[in-house]
Amino acid sequence: MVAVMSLPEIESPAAATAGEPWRELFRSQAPRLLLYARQFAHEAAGAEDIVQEAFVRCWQRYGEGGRTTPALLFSAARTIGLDHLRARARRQQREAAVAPDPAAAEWFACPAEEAERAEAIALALQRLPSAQREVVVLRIWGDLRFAEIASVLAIPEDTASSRFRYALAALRDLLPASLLRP
Amino acid sequence: MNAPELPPDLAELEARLRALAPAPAPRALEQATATRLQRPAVAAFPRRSHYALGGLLAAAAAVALLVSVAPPPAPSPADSSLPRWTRAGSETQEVGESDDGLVVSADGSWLRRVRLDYVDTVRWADPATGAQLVVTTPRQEIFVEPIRPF
Repeated sequence: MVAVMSLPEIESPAAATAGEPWRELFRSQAPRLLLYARQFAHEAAGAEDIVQEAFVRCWQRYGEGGRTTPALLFSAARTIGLDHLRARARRQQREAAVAPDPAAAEWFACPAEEAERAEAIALALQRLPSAQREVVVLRIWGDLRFAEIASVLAIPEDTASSRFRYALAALRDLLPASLLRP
Repeated sequence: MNAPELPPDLAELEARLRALAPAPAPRALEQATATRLQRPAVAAFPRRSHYALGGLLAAAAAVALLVSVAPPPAPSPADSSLPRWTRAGSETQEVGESDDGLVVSADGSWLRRVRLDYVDTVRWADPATGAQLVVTTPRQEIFVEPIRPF
């Protein structure tokens, strides 16, 4: 599979967000939220729906002035993502585990020469238990602290930390050594 | 709380993972979000709105008045011929159940949410004219049960 080299589509000049404070937050968080949402909805459209719903719900409930935090956004995305998973399970009349995302290579923005590594990492992520995968995505790409991850996942902070460690160890074993070398 | 330091190999792996940036959000998503934010707040939850709309339609449709074919006499000034409704019975029928599974409440705790749908039917009758009135009302009960995942 050939990874798509994605360059940022959205320029972020300060003037573009003047008078619309939500845009600044959206532009900084939407890529991270999208990656997180793809843990629940592998199809791109579904993930985008989750992100949009989470953002609108948080912004309208908590508004600006720093009250809409990344942790809140991820928490909302998780609630909506779980709803999405359940709805899909009902539609498909099954409770099977989520199938691997065929577009995993599109999870990350990377130059073409890094595409193979990005796809391997995305596929390895999908092989992790969902509880570990969520912590990895929230910690590394969501840039959340363990205390924030604990609040999003409703787990103790120690558990979030240990899950992260276990997940990294599992990823190390899942990824080809050649992909981990500089 | 300070997380324990990672072993060097895991720390290096973390750094390599961090070097990958999430794919950017499509411009259309930002536009769609802007459109949503410009709507009134009551329209902010389309995933829920169909439930609300469905509820309204169901309520409008379900409050059905079925009057028997017995023609009521024309009202007189004394109003003695106006129906005198007496309760003739009632029943409740469960028509559906859905398990929403686990949900996260506003305070972050886990809950299991189950919805039970009922139709309440109340029958009224006017013994003097034989007229009957049946009122059906949809009702949904939502049960939430706290769950401790760990």
